[in-house]
Amino acid sequence: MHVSRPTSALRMTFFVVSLLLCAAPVCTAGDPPDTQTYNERVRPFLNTYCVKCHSGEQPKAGIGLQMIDPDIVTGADFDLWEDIREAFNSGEMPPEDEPQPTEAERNLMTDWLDAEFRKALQHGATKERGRVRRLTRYELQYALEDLLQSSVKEHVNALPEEATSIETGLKNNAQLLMISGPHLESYLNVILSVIDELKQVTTWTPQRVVADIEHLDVHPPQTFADKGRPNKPPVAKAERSGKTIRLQPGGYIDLQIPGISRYAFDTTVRVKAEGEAAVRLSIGFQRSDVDPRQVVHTLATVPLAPSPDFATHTIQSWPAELPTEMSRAIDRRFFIRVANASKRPVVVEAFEYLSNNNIALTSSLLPETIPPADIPAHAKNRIAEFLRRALRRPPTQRELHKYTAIYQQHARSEPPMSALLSTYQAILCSPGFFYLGLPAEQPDDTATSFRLAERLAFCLWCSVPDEELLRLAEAGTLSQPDVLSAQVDRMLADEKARRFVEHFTDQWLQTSLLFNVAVDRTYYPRFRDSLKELMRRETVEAVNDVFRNGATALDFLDCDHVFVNQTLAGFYQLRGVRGSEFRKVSVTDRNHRGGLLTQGTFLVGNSDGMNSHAILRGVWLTSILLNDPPPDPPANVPPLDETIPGFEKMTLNEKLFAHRNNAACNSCHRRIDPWGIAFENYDASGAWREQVLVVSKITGKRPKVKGKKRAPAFEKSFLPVAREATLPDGVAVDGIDSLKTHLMTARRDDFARGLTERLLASALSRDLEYHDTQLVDQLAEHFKNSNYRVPDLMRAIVSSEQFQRGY
Amino acid sequence: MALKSWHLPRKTFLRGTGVSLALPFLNAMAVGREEQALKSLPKRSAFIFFPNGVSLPPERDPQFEDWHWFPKGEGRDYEFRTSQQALNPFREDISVVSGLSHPLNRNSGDAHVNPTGFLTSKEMIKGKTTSNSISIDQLISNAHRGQTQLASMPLSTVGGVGNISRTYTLSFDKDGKGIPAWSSLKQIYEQMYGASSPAARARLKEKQNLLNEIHADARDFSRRLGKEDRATLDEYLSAISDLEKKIENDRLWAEQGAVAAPPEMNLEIEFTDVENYIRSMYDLMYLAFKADITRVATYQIASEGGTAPTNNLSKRLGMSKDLHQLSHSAAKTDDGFKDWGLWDQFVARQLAYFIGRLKDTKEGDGTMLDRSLVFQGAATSRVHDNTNFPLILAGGKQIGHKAGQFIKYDEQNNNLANLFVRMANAMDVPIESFGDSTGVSMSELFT
Repeated sequence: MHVSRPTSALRMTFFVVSLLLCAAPVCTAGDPPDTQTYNERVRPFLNTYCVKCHSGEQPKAGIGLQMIDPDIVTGADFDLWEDIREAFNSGEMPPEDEPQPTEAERNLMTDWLDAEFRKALQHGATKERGRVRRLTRYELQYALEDLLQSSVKEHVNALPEEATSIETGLKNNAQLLMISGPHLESYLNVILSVIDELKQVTTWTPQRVVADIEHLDVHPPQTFADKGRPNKPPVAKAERSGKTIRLQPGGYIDLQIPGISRYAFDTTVRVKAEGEAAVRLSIGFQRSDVDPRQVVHTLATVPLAPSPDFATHTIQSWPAELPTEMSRAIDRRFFIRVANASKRPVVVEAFEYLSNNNIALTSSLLPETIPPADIPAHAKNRIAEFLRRALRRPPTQRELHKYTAIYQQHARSEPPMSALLSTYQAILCSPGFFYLGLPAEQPDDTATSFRLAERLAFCLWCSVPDEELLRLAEAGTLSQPDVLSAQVDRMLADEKARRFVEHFTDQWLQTSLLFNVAVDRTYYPRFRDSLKELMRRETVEAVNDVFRNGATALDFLDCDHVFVNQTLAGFYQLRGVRGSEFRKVSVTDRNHRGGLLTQGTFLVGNSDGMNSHAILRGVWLTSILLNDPPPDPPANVPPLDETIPGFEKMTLNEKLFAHRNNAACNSCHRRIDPWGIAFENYDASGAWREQVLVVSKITGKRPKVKGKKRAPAFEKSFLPVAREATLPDGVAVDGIDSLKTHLMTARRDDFARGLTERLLASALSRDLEYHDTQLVDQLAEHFKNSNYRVPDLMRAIVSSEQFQRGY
Repeated sequence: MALKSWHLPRKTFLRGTGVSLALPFLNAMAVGREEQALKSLPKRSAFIFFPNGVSLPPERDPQFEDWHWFPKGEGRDYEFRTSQQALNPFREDISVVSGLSHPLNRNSGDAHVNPTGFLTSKEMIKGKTTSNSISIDQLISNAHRGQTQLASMPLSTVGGVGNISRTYTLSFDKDGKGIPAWSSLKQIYEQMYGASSPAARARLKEKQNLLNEIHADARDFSRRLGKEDRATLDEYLSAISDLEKKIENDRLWAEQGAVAAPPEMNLEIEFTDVENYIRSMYDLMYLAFKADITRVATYQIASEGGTAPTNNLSKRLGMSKDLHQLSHSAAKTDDGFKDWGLWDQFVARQLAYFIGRLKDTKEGDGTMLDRSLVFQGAATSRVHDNTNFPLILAGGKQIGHKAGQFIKYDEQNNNLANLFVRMANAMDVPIESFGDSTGVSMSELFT
């Protein structure tokens, strides 16, 4: 039995390297490899002690020494040499039962390897490498949204998803962001369809529906719950008082609207409340004329501060964000609802709705105030501005001419707004938009500054820089340490940083695992598939708290709070959480929650839907959190030995134990399984358990159950939870609490280093390599000294030479 | 019927700029020239993949008799076991093949990279290999580029490309890059039938203009990029030139008008509606073959490994385990091989449906199946074993396939790439080697 999945932490061997760095004499870049020593002394050494096994057609461990390239610095076999060095330095090789080298011979080998690796380190650090890469799918989405102020998610979804790096699990790896004919075509199709849609949108007139508060029906028709039962009518929960309507807790009023908007729509309420209160704005429709049930979707919940004055709140929403059943229900009568979502009364003075709200778009293209004679000049300016934002730098004269000419050509046959959009289309299809890191025509300091602004924006916002970043780049001050540092803070505080948090979370923690597990309801009747999205959200909120609110990253290992809403809190059996919003909730030991390891994302995602899965959990924990991925499972592994007597009746743990006892499997599984066993208190649905449910098929004659036509095919039984394990480093743990304590005390720096590496790889858009070791060391140290604050780490990353130069 | 003026040699009226076209075979053209007309009938090939191997209980296991994937007997005397019964009506059109695989992939380090090399035979080493080589379907497609509106149809249930250790496509281009597979029925239908509408033609024109601009930009791009970014540039340039060729081809086809009237179809089906979805994919392949919209198709029914979105197809069909579990627990649970066999049975039923549609359609002197090669297989035999792929080759009787046998190859001296060479030959691509092929002629399978 083995687990296969992309292992994701780096496979660098740091322990040797860090020792070496302290003692290393300075060597200059460009030292040639010392092949003379190799030929005279190292090769005979290898011939004596190693070649016997490591040669021939099938050398042991895949390490063949006869043809190996002795040039570690620039040669082809660097990876092989890294393995050799680790095996040799750790004493693993030569094997105990083979002849051993003398002390002098050992030193010779060590010295030569150390010297050559040092040269490789220097060589790698100074080697120029590519820095140009294309946008990822999600970066494209956000960049288009920021540039065009429109939702484009549906269009962009037609593009193929990008490959993930095997080393890091990240999707912005420059080497893997490839392009081919079909891909280029789907990319052009996306741009074409986005612009087509916007051209249509600009021809629409926004429609306003204003509630007539004085005459509005405050007794809306009865609503029905999903199973057809009537809900309690909101009678007397909404009362008119003069020119306002007073909403008691739970009360609501509806405003009929004509169909669903095809573009952005605004919902505006003018309300006040005497105490802390909140209103919920939602959109809904009745299923059909004969089916009174309503489909209602919450647009937003607006918190209200106590105030004697009315305040106006406008919420903008997009049809693409609504559930599909809503966008398909084109012939239904829709309403907008404002409901009191608090325990205190709320007073509504005005309530209105604006559909197809293209005002922001049309006025950004061509404000109505521009006289026709000025349109060409205005268009030229718009094109210049758009170029600057889309290309993340000032356009060249040639580019300006080119795109102005394209505009003029279109303007002959199209209205100005449409011609302008056609010009944008040409800009968005150009490589200048599609590729990041393109060198400028005249490489100077300003150009470097603009590239830095671009890198920052795509790193922290997954999108183009905003005006402030561009301005600082233009002024040439962006790379000043204090300016840079202030910008990182500003950018993290901006809502756009949430995109980075979400995507990084998904890629780092592999949240998609969660959605690939079908939780078996025979075992876990309490589980609903809708919980999965909430579990993912919990994880994202936890990461957001650390990345943007500045909580310590050690919260990931253990903390005294969780992020839940009512539904998820209910599943985790936490009391007192009301409402669908996620919030930070304190927990105690009794709740058995806190940190990434007790979240459903990890627990369900690493189960098989029926049973907890110690191996999957162990692999995830060691490779993602501890930065120590187990080796890949060998090809053609023997399956579990089912000839063991009583195998069928064994618990998973007993089977694992049997598997570990098999010598072929032991060397790997003793490093994996114990980590997962500590989680045995959590079942496959992520819930806490005191005993293990076993569902087994009833074989033979089924016992009759009274009153049931068919006897059940399954029987349930319970086994005690076995959660004691001895970790590979010899520490005994008994369940989750002691495991967390161990992680917090003994492994926190491994964890921090792993996160540092992952964030650095994300910022540099590439896998880390051997020559990055020094930087990772410094950053990890800095991270530790800042008490593991991610904003501090991010500031250090963007100040590093590697980030500044862009590779 | 009187001879009309368009009774001309096929290609004389179909000359475009550098790209020649071949319309679907028109029966009217055959008057008096049957022999020649039969020769010009299109030859098609479909490559179908399913994940994780098949149920192969050991001989001592009581489930062996019924649930072993490979048939009983050998040669012309073979008999399908339970799971492949659906293919029985097509016995004489089918060869079952055992003993073939891609030996280079036995040390891949992760069995789930095998599907990536399934149609390429390239050596894949987990964590080391970053690119593939051309797949056999693309080699065939490239050799006949311009003959059909769509060069090939790369289909998969997940769609896109995935990554090298979890591929979502079977097709790889000449540089070994994954070709994004199509998964949405609507999208595929659009590609097949939407090409000649006025809107599509206007769009084509627009794309061509944009591409001209991009080409000019790319030259500018090349001046600015240093040598360390050369690969990125080369890739971009080759994408542009590939797309230019494709758009030129599209344009010529659009000018010809609609290739076929679009049939009524429910295009809203998602893969979660497993059987209807898979059959719709087969329907689209069939329709594309029939109207000669394409001659090469690949279809990945599900992708491999426990984390693939399609891993729970079997559960959606009401089976007790997901696909990965079926393979891993077969030997460990009481009816494990039978459970797995039920999935094999499902796969066979879908293939039978596709073969059936081809065989039910008259064409030339026989049926469509006679000139279509339908190849189906997995890239492992049982749990993560890169040996003895379970393979079926159907159809192609008129193009050299000696169907109606169960051929057991000796694993030591044969590999799957040899079969690919012969398939390509049957598709009029005169190659002598492909991937790790060894030049074995396989004369028992092909004339």
